[in-house]
Amino acid sequence: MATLEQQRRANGERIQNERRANGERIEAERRAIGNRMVEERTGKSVADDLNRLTTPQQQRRSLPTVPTVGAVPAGKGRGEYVPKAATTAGIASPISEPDYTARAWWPGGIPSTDGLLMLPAAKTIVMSDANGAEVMFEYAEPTP
Amino acid sequence: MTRPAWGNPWRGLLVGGQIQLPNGSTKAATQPTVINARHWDEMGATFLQRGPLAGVSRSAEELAADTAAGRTWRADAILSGQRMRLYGKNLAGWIYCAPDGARWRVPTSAIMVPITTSAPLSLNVTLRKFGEFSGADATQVVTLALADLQQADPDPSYSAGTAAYLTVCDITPDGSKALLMIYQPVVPFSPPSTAWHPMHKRPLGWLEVSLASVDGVVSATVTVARSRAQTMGTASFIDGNITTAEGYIQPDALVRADMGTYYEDTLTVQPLAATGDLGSRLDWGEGGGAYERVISGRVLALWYTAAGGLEEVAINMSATASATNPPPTESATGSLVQHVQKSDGAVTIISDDREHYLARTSVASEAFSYTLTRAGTIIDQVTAVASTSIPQTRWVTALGSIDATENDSVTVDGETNTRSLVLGSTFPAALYSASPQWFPWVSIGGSAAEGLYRATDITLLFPSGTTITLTPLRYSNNLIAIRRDRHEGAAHSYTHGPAAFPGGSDPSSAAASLDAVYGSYNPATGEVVRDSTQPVCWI
Repeated sequence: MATLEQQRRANGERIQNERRANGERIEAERRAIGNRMVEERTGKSVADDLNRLTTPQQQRRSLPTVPTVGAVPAGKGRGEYVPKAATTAGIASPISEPDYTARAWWPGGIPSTDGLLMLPAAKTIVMSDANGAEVMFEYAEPTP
Repeated sequence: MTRPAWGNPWRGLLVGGQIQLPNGSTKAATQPTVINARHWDEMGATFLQRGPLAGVSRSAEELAADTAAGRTWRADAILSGQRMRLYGKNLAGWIYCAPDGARWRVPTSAIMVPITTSAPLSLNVTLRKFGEFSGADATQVVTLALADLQQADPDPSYSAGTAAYLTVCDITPDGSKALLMIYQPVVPFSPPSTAWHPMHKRPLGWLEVSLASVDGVVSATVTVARSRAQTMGTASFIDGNITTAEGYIQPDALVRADMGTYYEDTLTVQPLAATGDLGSRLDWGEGGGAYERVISGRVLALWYTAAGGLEEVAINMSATASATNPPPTESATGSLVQHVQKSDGAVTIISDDREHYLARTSVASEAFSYTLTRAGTIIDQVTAVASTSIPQTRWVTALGSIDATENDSVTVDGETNTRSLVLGSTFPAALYSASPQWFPWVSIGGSAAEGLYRATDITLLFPSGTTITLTPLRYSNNLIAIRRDRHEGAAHSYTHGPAAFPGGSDPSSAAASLDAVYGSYNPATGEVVRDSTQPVCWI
C-alpha cells in the first residue's frame, strides 16, 4: 500500500497533467478560431462555395515553345535499373494451374491429315497468379 | 496460316520392307503378311480410308521441304494388306467414321471367319472408340445378322457345298460400308498343302455391311450384294446331235457259168444292206450341228467405285463349234472272176477289180474367247479359232482299214499352228464312232455347273501339243488379270494380261515368271505395281 507521501505526489502529478491538457486544448481552439477569421476576411470559403455552382472558365493556354532549329547538343544521361514491382496492378507472376481437370476442351480438336486421329484442343484453362487471382486462358477453336 | 500437318507422311510403295519415298530415299517398314497360307493376294490388299475432317494445307515452302524430306501429306490413309496395317501396326480392322465425328474400329477378326452358307449369319462385333487421345475408352457391340445368305446352289449337278469363309474385300473411305466376300479357297485350307493357285479365292457371293450411328449408338445391317446364283452367272453347254448309222455287209453276188472242165465264177460286190443279218455289221456316227460351251458373268471380284457404287469383275467364256459329220458315200463296184476246176477244185483268179468303201469328209470349226470384264467393259480377252477337216475312206472289202488325213489349224491370239496328219489304219474308229471329239482344241472339263464354279484353268491345245492354260490371277482384293500359262515340252512360260482395278485398268501385258504373282493397287493415287517376284503393297 502506498505511503501518504506517495499518494500526495501522485495527486500532484495528475493535477499538473490535467492543467497542461486543458491549456493545450484552449490553445488549439484559439488557433482554429483565428484561421476561420482569416478565411472569412479573405473570402476564400465563399469563393469555393460559388465555384461549385458555376462552370469554371477555360484557362488560356500559351502556345508551345518551338524548339530551336538545329542540331541538339550532345549530352550524357544516367539511369539506374529498378526492378518492376512485384505487384501494383494486373497479373502477378508466376501463374500456375491449380486444377488440370478444370480445363475445358473444344468438342473437335486438331485432326490428323487423314482425319482418323484427333489431338485434343484446349478451349479454356483456369490459372492462378501469385496473388491468388484467377486468370482465364481462352483459346481459339481449331478450324481444319 | 497453313493447317497443322500431322499423321503419317511416309507414303509410297512398300517392297522388301522399305517404303519407296518420292525423294528417292527409303524408309524401313514392316511388309504386310498373309492371313491364310499362300494366299499372296492378302499381302497386296489395300483399303482407302478418309475421315470427315481430313485435309492438307501446305505452303509452297512447306511443300518444298516435304519433297526434299520425302514426306507426302495426304488427306487419306491406306490400310495395307489384309491385316489392314495403319501407322505401322496391324489395325486388323477398319475405321467407321460416324456422322457425329466419332471413329470406331471394326475388328475383322470377328468377321473373317468360316461360315456355313446355309445357316443364318450372326456375328457379334465389338467396336472400340478410335483415334482419341483424351477421354475414356468406349466399346459397343453390334451384331451382323442375316437370316438368308442366298447361297443355295444354283445347279445341284455340281454343288459347291456350304462350307465357306468370309473376308473383307472393300470398304468405303468413311468405313460406313464394307463388302464381305463369301469364298472357298481354290486350294483347300485343310489339309495343309504347299500348293497354291493364282486365283486364291473362288467367290460364291458377297454381303454388304452398312453401319449407322444415332446418338452415339452404332447399328449394323447386312444385305446380300450378290447371291450365289448372281455370282456364278449362267452357263450353256450344248452338244451337237450325233446319231448312229449302221450297215450290213452283203456277200458278193455269185454268178456261175459251166465252162466244161471248170466253172467260171463271177463275184460281184454288193452294197451294204440297211437291215438284215446276212453279214458283218458296220456302224458309224453321223450328224453334228452346233456345239457350245458358254459361261457368262462369272463374277470374280466386287468393289466400290469412287462414287460408292458397286463394280463387278467377271469372266465370260465362249467356245462354239460347228461340226458336220455327213453320211458316207458308198462305192461298191467291180467283180472277181475265178475259175474253179471240176476235177480238184483248184481256184485260179482271173481278174479282181472289186472296190467297196465308205467315204466322207468331216469338218468342224471352233471359235473361242475368254474375257475379263470390269463393269461390262472388256479389259482382257484371249481369242482362238480352230478348224479341222478329215477326209476319210473306210474300206469295206478290208474290214477295219481306214485311210484318212486330218488337217488341223488352230490360232490363238494371232499365233497359228497347223498340222496335216496322215492317219494310219490304227486310227480309232472314232471317226465313225457315235461320239466324235468335236471339241479337240478347248479343254474345259466337267459339266456346265462345274465350269461355272471353277471358271479357271481353261486349256487351249495346239496341234503341236503345246497348251495354253488360262486362269484368273488375283494380285489383291482390287487387282485382277488373266494369266496365260504356256506349256511347251517341259517348259512353262507365263504372260500376264491387262489388269482390272476399281474404275480402270492397266492395259499392259508382260512376260512373267511363275512366282511373279505379287501386285498391289493404290486406291489413293491409282498407281499399280504388279508381276513382282516379291511382295508389294502401298502404304
